[in-house]
Formats: sequence, C-alpha cells, structure tokens
Amino acid sequence: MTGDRRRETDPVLEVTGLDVHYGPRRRSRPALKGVSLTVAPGETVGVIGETGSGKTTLARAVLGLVPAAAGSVRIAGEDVRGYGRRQWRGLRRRGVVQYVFQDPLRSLDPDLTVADSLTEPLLVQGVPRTEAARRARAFLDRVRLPADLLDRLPGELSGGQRQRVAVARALVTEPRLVILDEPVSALDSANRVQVLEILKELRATGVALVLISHDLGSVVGTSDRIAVLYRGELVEVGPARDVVNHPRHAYTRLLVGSAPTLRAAPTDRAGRAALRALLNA
Amino acid sequence: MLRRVLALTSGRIAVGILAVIALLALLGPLLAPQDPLATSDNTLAAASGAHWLGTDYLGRDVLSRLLDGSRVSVLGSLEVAVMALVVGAIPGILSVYLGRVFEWVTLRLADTLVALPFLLFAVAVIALLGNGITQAMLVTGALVSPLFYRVARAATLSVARSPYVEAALVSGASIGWVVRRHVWLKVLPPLAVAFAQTIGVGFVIVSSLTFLGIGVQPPEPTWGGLLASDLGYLSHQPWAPVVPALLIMVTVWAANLLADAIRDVSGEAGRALVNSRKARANRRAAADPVSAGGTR
Amino acid sequence: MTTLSRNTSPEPVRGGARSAAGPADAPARTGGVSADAGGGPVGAVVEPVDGTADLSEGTVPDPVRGGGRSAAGSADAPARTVSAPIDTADAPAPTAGVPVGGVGESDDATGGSDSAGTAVAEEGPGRAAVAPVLALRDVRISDRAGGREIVHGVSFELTPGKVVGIVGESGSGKTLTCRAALGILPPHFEVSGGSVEIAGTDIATLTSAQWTALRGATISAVFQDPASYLNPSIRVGPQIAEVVRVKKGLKRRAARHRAVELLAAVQLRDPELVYTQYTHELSGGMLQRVLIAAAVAAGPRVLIADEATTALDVTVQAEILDLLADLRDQAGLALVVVSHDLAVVAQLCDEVLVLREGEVVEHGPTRHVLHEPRHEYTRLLVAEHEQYGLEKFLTTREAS
Repeated sequence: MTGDRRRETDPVLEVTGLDVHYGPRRRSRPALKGVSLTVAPGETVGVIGETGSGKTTLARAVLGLVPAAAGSVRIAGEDVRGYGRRQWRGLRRRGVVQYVFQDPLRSLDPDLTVADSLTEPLLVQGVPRTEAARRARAFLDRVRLPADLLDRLPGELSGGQRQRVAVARALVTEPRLVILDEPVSALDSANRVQVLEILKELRATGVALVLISHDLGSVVGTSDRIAVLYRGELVEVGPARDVVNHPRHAYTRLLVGSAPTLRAAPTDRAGRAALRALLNA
Repeated sequence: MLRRVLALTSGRIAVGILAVIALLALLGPLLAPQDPLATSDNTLAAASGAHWLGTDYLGRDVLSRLLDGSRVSVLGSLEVAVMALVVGAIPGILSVYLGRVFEWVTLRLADTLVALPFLLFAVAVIALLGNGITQAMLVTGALVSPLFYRVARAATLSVARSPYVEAALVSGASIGWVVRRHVWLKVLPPLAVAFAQTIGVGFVIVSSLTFLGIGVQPPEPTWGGLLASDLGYLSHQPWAPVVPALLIMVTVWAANLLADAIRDVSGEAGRALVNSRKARANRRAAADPVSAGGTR
Repeated sequence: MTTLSRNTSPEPVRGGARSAAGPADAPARTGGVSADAGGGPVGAVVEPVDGTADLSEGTVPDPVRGGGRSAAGSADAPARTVSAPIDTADAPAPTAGVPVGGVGESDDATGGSDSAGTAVAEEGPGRAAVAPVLALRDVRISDRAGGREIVHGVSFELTPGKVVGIVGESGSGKTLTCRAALGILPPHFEVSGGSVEIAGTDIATLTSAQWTALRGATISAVFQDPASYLNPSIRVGPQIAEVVRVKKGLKRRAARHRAVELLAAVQLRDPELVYTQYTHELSGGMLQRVLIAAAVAAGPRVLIADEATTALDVTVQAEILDLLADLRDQAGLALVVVSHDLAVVAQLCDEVLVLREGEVVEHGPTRHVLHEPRHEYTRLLVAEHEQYGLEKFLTTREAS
C-alpha cells in the first residue's frame, strides 16, 4: 500500500504506555492504563470498546484535549509530551491530525453554513478565503454531497449529510491521520454504508485512520487491525479478521458473541453469561 | 432575527412603539411648540388650545417640556443599557477563557455589585465625580452589568465545551477566533433579551434618579423630572402626572414586549413557535371537511 | 423467579391457560381489558369466534382476519414451542407464524416453566385466531405544519406473545407510527386516516382520562434514551413504585415490594440496592432495565420498544434483547420492536414491516422478509447489512 501522500515510513501515531486520569488529584481514577498503540502511514486501525472503556479518552489525549498522566504520544514523529497551548496550536495548524466527533448533530455549529464550517480549518491555517472556498467545494464532492449544500445550515441537513460534512471538514487540511469517533453509530443503514464507503476511498489515498466504535460490526470491514479496549486497558490487538474469528480475550469473545446477525441465531446465552462472569471475577 | 420578531404581533407592536419613541427622542426638541424653559404667569393651567397639556407650577408648557425631555430620557436609558452591555458582557464571555484568576475576580466583582445598595452607591459616585448625566449613566450601567455578565457567561459556558468549538481548537484556532466565530452568535440572543429589558429598567432608574435630582439638573426637563414636579401639585392638578407616567410606562412595556418577542423567536423554541403558527394557518386554509380523521 | 403477570387475582386459572395453549380449542379472546372476566377459558370468551378448523376468511369478524392471514402466511412453518404464562387468565395463545429458527432462545427461556411449556401448537391454515391487543389499520399520519402526509398507511396486528418489528431509516415514520399508537404524536401531527385499536378500543374515541387509564396498564413503551425518561433527583425505585401505586392501587409498602420484584424481574443484580439509587449512579444498560421495569409495572399487554437498544453497547444490547424475549415468553407480552438495525429485529420478531418514507414496502414473517426479501428496498437493506455487518467476517460461527 504505497499511498502517494506517504512522506515517510515512520508511524503517524505512536502511543506508548499512556496513562490518563480523570477527576481531582486526590480522588482521581484511571481512564487509561498503559495503552500502547502504533498506527503506520495509510493504515486503518479500529479501536473497539464499550461505554467508559476509555476509547474517546484515548482520542482526546492524542489530540491534546486531555492531559496525559504518564507515557508518551508521538504524532508524525513529533513528541508532544509537555506541549503547551502555543505548541499545540502550532502543531494543529499544520493539519497533521484531524478529528471527527462522535455526535454529528452537535459537531457542526448550528449558526454557520456548511461552507463556513468547511473553510474554517483552512482559514485558521491562513489560507486565503477564495482558495479555501474552492477547496471546501472540492471536498464536499469527495464525500458525495452536492455543492448546493454549501449555503445550508446544519439544521437543514439530515444526520447522514451532517456526518459527511464533518468528515469533509476533517479532510480539507489533507491530514495524514484522521481519528473518527463513532463515525457511523448514529447513522442508519444507507448512510452508514455511504460513510463507510467514503472511508474506504480515503484509505486508498494513503490517509491513516483510527476508527473508534463500540460496535465491532460497523468498523471491522474497514479496518486493517482491531484494537480492543476494556476498562482502560488494551486487551487485544490484531488483524481484523483474526480478532473476529479467533478472539482471545474474554471480553472480545463476549463482544463477538453478542453482535446480532441476520442469519445465525444469537450465540447461546449460557456462553455469554459465563464470559460475563469471567470478566467480573 | 428582526424579520422573525416582526412576524409576531407582539414584536410588531413593540417595534412600532419603540420607533415612535425613538422619533420623539430625535425630533422632540424640534417639535416642541414653545420654549420648554420659558415661564409665564399662567401657572398650573388646564389643557387648552395654547397649552395642549396645560402648564406646570411655573407656567411652562407641559407638552413642550415632555417633548424636549424625551431626548435626554431615551438616550439616557440607552446609554445605561450600552454601558451595562459593555461592562458586563465582555468580561462575562472572557471569564470562561481567561483562566481561573480572572474568572474568580470577575465573579466576585459581579456579586459585589449586586449586593451594593443602589441609591447609596449612586450618591457616593455623584459625590466623587460631581453631578451630571454621564456620571448617572455610569453608575446605573455598572449596577445593571452583573445581569449581562451572568447571561453572557452562561451562554458562553454552554458553547465552550461543544464539539464544534473543540473541532475548531483541534484545527488550531485561537480563543479569539472561537469567540468571534462560534461564541458570539450564541451569546447574542440572550444578550438581546437582557438589553431590551435593561432599556426598560434604565428608564425607571434614570427617571427615579432625576426624581431625586441626581443626574439631570433641575431646569432641564426629563420625563422622570416632570413626574416628580407634577407630584408636588397633585392637589391642584390631579391628572398632571398621568401623561409623563404613561409615556414611561408605555416605553418600558414596549421594551419588555420586544425582549419577550426576541426570546420567543430565538433558538429551538422559536422554531417550534413559527412551526405551530404555520400549522394553524394551514389548518385554517385547508378548511375542507376531508381532514376529519384524528380529532384530539 | 418473579413472573411478570398482569393478573394478580388469585383465581386458579392455570387449566385455562394450559388449554389455551392447546391446539384445538384455543379460545379467541376479545380485545377487552376484562382479563379477569371469568375463570375458565370459556368464561373469558366474550365474543366467541369459531375456534375450529373451518375458519374461513370471509365470515370472521375483522380483528380475526389478521391472525388468520399470518397463520396462512406461514402454513409451511414448523410447530413452535410456546411457553405458556403461568398464572394469568389472558394467557397468550401460541403465536402464529413463528418458525422455530426465528426465535433462537425460546427453548432455554422456557426451560423452567411448568408443563404448559411443553404444549405444542399445531400450525396450519384455519388455526384459531386470537383477538389482537393492538391493531393498526391503514394508519396515516400527517404533518399539519407542512400539510403533507408522512406515514402512508401502516397496518399490523399484534396478538399476545407476538413480536412485530418495524425497520426503516430515520425519517421513515417508524417512531411516528409508534407515537400514534401511544396517542403521543408531537404537536401539529395527527392521525389523518385509518384507525388504531388497543385491546379492541378505537383510540380515536378515547377521552384523555381513558388514555391515562390505558397507558401503562394496557400499552406501554420504552425509548432510546432511558435517562431522559426518569427524574434525576428522585431515586429510581420510588419512581417505579409510584407507577404501581397509581396504576394498581397498591399501598406504599406493597408498592415498594412490587417495585423491587420488578427490578429483580428485569435481572438487575441487586434490586434492593438499585431501588435506592439515582439515575446518574446507573449505567445505560441498567437504566434501560429500570425503564423496562417501570414500563411493565402495571402489567401492560403491549410494549413498544422504540430503538430501545440503539444507544447501548453491543454486549448490553444482547442482554436487553434477551430480557425482552423473556418478558414475551413469561408474561405473554406483545412487543413492537422498532429499530434501524435489521439484525436486532431478526433476533426477536415474528413479523417484520419494512418502512420507507412512510410506506410499508414489505410485511411478512421475519424469516421470509429477511431471508427471501421480495421488495428491492428490503433486498438492499439486507445486502448492505451483509456487506458491512459482522457476518462477512465470521467464517467459523456460521455453523453454530
């Protein structure tokens, strides 16, 4: 997989022994415990975990939105440990990493038109207004939205359209790594397929993707590797097909066993109960 | 926003009344039929062809005094509102972003201003800076500003942690950018409501200050001043305070009406309101008997 | 094990229940709420419908036709084990048109119940039909603001113990349909055609007092976001006890006891503890259980689950789906399961409606609709699910 925009073979993201704590210092509880994860250029990694497993915290720590208690994060070879506000701003303005937020309903400013939202990252970088508008239009096309949506407000778009605008906004700076938090969870089947197909195309262009989801089924088809987070720890990492077919950790087994499917009957309840007991032990 | 406000009946009434008041303020002194300061022997006269609203205890034409005083009164309350907006809203927005120290200090300051007895504070400032309209506005503006501080802070807080603000931050936006681009539009509707309300409050405050002789010097007429002087001659002319009181009342009422209309048409609630009005109109238009299905 | 029974009357009606499960003399119940009208099966029949095999479509009253139809639709389906309810007079008769494979876990769910659990219903044309507890007939819903019709005629019938699934994209009208059945359409929406019957009563004729009596006691619902349906400043237990007190007329102490029972019935691990907790102390899955407990507290006969598992983790979703299946099997609850996820519907439902832009494009037994879809839209949905769902990657589990 030799993406045309691959500039180096170093990993775009290298997380080593990351600890994140929440809450006031005395009573803080760990949200992430010693998480290590590497994402190679052009690679797609699915991060799976249930509510409260720390998957969103992982993304926010990588983006500098929450401070790390220990461990290191390297973005495109740059160690961001101990970065201050100004240094973060400098790194972010280069547009190396972008983030697509969990909730497509709230991730776009309701008072800004689609064009305003799309051009924002470029304007922040200092791109001239006309150039920014031209590129925004091009990226709208890439997420298969008609150009006449540019003048609309988010309130006038469907959930699926909004999510695609959010994806386009993350892409306009041509980042090397995009982290998507639950990119398809809020979408119904048709929109889900559309967004997943856009992500597939994106992979082909050499952008590295991190897909965060609670639903194994929705990201497994798009991911090269799957990482399973459980209670703040990375319990399993491996090629997507292996993780699904030969889950090793009890939680992964439970996850695979719980996923509803069309043809197979749900796996036996006794088996799931046993796995749950194992996890709670 | 304005178009939505005008879609409401109450909004139209409010804007209409306030437009007339604004015209009064602009043209009032020119419209005054007689010199508002000229005294005559004809004191405390009833309404007549020469003096439509009669004369006061020094024989001055009441209508002329009302018209002449409107500029000071209206501009005064506007000044109060603008002053409060500037003094309150800007620190309110910044308190969310400029760190804990700034937040703590401004919060305590706002609390203190709320706790201060109004008249004492006003008298103290006048004693310090000398009597005058500007000082009076300064005092009232500062005292009303905690309202704007609170409103702006609350609205900013609700936006500050929204995903779209974080998305802007992840793209490298500065705080100034975020405030200009995202926060300002969210803070505006509640501030507009507070502003309209403050215009009403400002009237009452400026009037009561003039009533006490603070701010505007005696010979110069204001609505509140007229009310004050008329009250002294209630036994001779019981109806005299009615007109200035009515003017103040109508203006305050219209400002409050406008504030309500702004609140009604902004945000989600506004959209729901506009929708239900549309529904009612449609039902009336489609008054054919076919739609007899669900009547609940 | 706590059973979720509607009828708390001590009358020994077990025999009735068992015979109701029997193949030949299954009584058709009227939709009336008169669950305790009589002890035996015959007494419960207020409006007897010919229970014998020569039930012909032309002569039966309207409510029955649906049952007959669906029975005919799956004439080739094998018999299904039915877990008979344990102590209720209005025991659900075996549901029509349920192939065994359609409900995978029905066997182990019934393992603990009494001999009635082994009763087998013979399926076949002309099987006795049971009066529906919820019947929608060509329901149309219009938006008065826009002046357009949003839902263009939805029909289905729900008999006790039966599960109907509604699938469709957002905006297809699934939620509006449910809300119409519950009489809680948002402002400026109205039912502009067709009728909804709950337990034989046309809802158009209901006064608001009658609605209040009906909701909770006969028809109930759980929605997507459980936290927003509970008061955050009151412990969750008393909120359930309140439902029991108001709807069942129980005294404080009895209501508390019943509420704890209900919390146990929805398989919360420590019901006494959960009773005293606040919403913020409970996880999403636990909250959804609490909400289900509250929804079934007054012993409804129909439960509408509108995207009830959508916001939950997959592992928790599986547990909630199991719980719903148990409720159906033990209390004969009829379910309407609304979801945009085909697989969720496939797990639980006997019958599926596929909705697109307010139009029912396909309606039939789950197995037929999902495995041999006729309409191209259904085919597309199934294909999309198979393309992007987990199935494609599961090579080893297919056999199990």
